[in-house]
Amino acid sequence: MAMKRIGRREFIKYTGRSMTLLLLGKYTNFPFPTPSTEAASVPQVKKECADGLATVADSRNRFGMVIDVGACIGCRRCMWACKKENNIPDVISPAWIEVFELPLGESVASHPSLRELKAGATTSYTESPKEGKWYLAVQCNHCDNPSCVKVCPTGATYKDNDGLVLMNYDKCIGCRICVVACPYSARRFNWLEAKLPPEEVNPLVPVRFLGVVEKCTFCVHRVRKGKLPHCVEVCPVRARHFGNLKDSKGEIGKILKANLSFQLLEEANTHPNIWYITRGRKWVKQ
Amino acid sequence: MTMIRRRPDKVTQDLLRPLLTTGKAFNFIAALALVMFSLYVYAFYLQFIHGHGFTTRQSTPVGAVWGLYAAIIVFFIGISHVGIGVSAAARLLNLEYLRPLTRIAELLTLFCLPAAVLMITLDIGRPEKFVLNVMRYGRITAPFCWSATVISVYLFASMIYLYLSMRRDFAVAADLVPKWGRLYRLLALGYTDTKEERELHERTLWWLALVLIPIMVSVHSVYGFVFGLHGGRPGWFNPFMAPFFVLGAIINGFATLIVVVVIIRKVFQWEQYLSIQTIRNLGRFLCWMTLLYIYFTLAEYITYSYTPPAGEAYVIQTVLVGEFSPIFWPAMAALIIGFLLLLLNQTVFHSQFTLWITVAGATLINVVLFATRYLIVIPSLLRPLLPFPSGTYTPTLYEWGAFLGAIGFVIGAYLVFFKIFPAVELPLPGEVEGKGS
Repeated sequence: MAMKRIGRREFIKYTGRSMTLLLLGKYTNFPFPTPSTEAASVPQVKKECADGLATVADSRNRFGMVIDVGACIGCRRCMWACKKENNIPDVISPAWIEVFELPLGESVASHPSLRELKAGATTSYTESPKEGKWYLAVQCNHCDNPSCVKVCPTGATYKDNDGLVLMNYDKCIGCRICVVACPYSARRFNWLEAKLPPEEVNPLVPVRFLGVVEKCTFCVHRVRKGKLPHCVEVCPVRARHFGNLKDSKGEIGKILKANLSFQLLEEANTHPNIWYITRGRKWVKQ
Repeated sequence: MTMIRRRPDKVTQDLLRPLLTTGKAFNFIAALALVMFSLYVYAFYLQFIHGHGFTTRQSTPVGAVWGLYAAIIVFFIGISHVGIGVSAAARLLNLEYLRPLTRIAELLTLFCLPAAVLMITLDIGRPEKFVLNVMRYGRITAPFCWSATVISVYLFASMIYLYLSMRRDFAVAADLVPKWGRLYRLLALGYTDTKEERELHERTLWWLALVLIPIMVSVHSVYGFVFGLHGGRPGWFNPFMAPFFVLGAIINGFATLIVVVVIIRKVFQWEQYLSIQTIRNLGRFLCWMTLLYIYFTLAEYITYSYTPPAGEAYVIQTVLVGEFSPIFWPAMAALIIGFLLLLLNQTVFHSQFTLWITVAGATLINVVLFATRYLIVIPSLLRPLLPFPSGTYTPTLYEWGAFLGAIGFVIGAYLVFFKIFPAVELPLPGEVEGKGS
């Protein structure tokens, strides 16, 4: 019995030592040091970028958007342009951008879904703006304190150096806790197979597979190449503005200085990067 | 390796009976469990090929991204909670009368945790990736990483605990069950049932039990955190969530344990070993815990419905008077009826204790607990904070089928276990006379 007890102690001792060695190996690259793959230098190349082109996240940038709800006429061109640009299939409904039609003086109203819009298009470009209505476009706010990033178990969604909140679809396991955590309901889950005709697919944006979560990327494949997001580009009334918040002389900085602005659900403490301004209701007939 | 130096007593023979004979009922229930489990496999197959949208009727446009599956996961985790807990508490507090049912309770943990993992696999968008990705890229801030950690630790510790507590039985039964003799000898790993060995085992198990209790609490707290940490979800953001879930798990587990023990007692005719007094004690504990649960529920709903912010108000409205009221009010009524049944049967009229009333109360409480899980998950998800139209959610038959499948898995696992291993701890040589009541 005495022999046995020593054996057990020794067993524990050796197990403990080998575990320590293993842990040491994991955190200090002992005994086979390898060069760190994550270079600390800026700009940083991320192979996991959503566009698959290994675009560069430049930390001199911090992207932000201003949406002028006074100017917005509710044409939904941003919505459709985004859908086409980012390979969003019909089964993702609503798409990444949603435009609410809201009555004046009230904040909440039901509105047609994307599918209904496709079928009948009751609020198409020709029919909006409607009298006594205003329009609120919402999408991912690329928050500075993103609750979706914090809860993600695999780091599939991450905050990049230039302020974009992006997705790595390979890491995503589809647990949907980010969808639950996002107070803006900006995230979509791929419930069904995406059916996109091959000729309509934008090769710069990966087509998402079954069972992963996706959301607005601020058109990462465009903005990191110095272009505007597609929704900003197509807006016929220039209700959308996009730029670098760190550039104090840039368009965004000027607009935010000159106008009163608000953000969505500020009480959620997410520090969103989309600001809303109302530069007079240009079109509303009272 | 002759470890049995005495003739097997009547009790041991009786307890080993299921290992030696197989009845028609066994085959029937095994087939039933297999059919039930195939429903799970079918749902899994459909989902894997066609996507979750095929089996889950997703609500438009944003709505309930977690549905019945999430409720089932919490339900199973809750049941698994108690098994090892009962056993560990019995050991730490020296509750000798619980000894005969400790193994049945431990198995509840051991089978319900994998059942919950089965449901998680079904719920997750990419089941082929989820274990690997969480292990490779796991992020410490994520509640799901905590849950993966605590579940695996709990499962692993429970297995060791169960094995250690079974080692003596392997040694004793090796000669009595010729069919599995070789397996038992292998598993006994040289244990010969001497006094010293027994003491060493007891001490190891005592320490293991001490470690298991906090792990057990953490498992269900983490599930409370999965829901309670989201500031952007009305009805969830609540520091109360973790203790509430632990309490829910305790009564859920005890209620299931009572039902399982009574069924096993009836099927194997072990009235003598799983005594009515033991079940009564379980029932009494369940009764007071249920009262505590009623109090917690009351506190929660009073807080939510007094002067809630808009989001909370909407959620509580759908539960109290809206679309979920047909679930909520019957569930609350059933909870109180279940409590009263237990109370009257266990304490007030204790001289005329009826076993079936306790079982009925426990079953009722189990159903209620499932309903409350559903009410925690769904209503909060249906109302986005931005002016999206609120969604609707109805579970599909596939989802219910998968639930049956997971239950089938647990039943099947019990059956297989009972055919291979002794279901009740074999009595020590000196205490045979003291068994039963």
